[in-house]
Amino acid sequence: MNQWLTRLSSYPLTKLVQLYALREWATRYPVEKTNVIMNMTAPGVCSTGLARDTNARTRALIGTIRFIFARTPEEGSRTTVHGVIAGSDSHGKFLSGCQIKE
Amino acid sequence: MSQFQIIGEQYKKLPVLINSANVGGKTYIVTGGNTGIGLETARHLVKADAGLVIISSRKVSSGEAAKADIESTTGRKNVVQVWQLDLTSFASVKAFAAKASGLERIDALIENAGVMTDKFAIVEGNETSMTVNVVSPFLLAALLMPKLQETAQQFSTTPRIVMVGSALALQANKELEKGGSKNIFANLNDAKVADR
Repeated sequence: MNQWLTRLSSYPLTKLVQLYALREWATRYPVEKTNVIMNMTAPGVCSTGLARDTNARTRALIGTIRFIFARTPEEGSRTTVHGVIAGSDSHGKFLSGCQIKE
Repeated sequence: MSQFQIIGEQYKKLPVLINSANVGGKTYIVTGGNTGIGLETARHLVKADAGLVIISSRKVSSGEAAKADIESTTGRKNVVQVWQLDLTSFASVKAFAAKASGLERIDALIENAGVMTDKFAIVEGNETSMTVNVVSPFLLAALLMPKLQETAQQFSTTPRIVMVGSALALQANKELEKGGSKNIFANLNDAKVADR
């Protein structure tokens, strides 16, 4: 399981840095001061064009994973829509499956 | 989240949490709204009676195709606008932000656009995916904060910045080990480390 994750090039790393940046942003700009909420939503594995720029082996791997349990882009977008209406308690938080996670 | 939790959640039926009451008449920006999750997010917003939905796209033609698709499936015309935005260029981000700052209001900035690539290249001082997935989105967020705060005051609302992330962020241990966690940017900018 861990093997295929390492073949996704730098993508997971950039998403980790994005999460770090979210945490830092939320600490520096609390909702009480700005009235603006920033949160992060994870759509899960979806069948989209995301991996179109990767090599054939990576695309084959992702294709297999998607074949087994991918959401459609519409199902994935429900998690994004959740971020739009999530309240102050979602500030700086990682949201997944339409719930505030960590 | 563990890998098993991630997989388990895939089978959960998810609710659509927006409707005319909570997004009706409001203004939204969806980056990368021409395809995939961005397109479907924009479609949900239009369906729920949003007043204005701006979708950004690198290529205006693919944005226009998405707009036509949303209009035909929702039956709502003149709600979607297509604005050009290329996250590999800070000039493009700044131009987009300047234009968006002229809007009457922004109720949510949905930063969905991203890239997964294994072709190594440096753009705007960092490896491409770091620029596109992290630096440019946060630059755009910072540039639009004044407008979001103004919207909050004027309309007594709480605007959102939604960053579309990934559970893969929590699985990046191996990637981190490649160059260590001390200086992620510098390591990723080194083609030899990035390609390892």
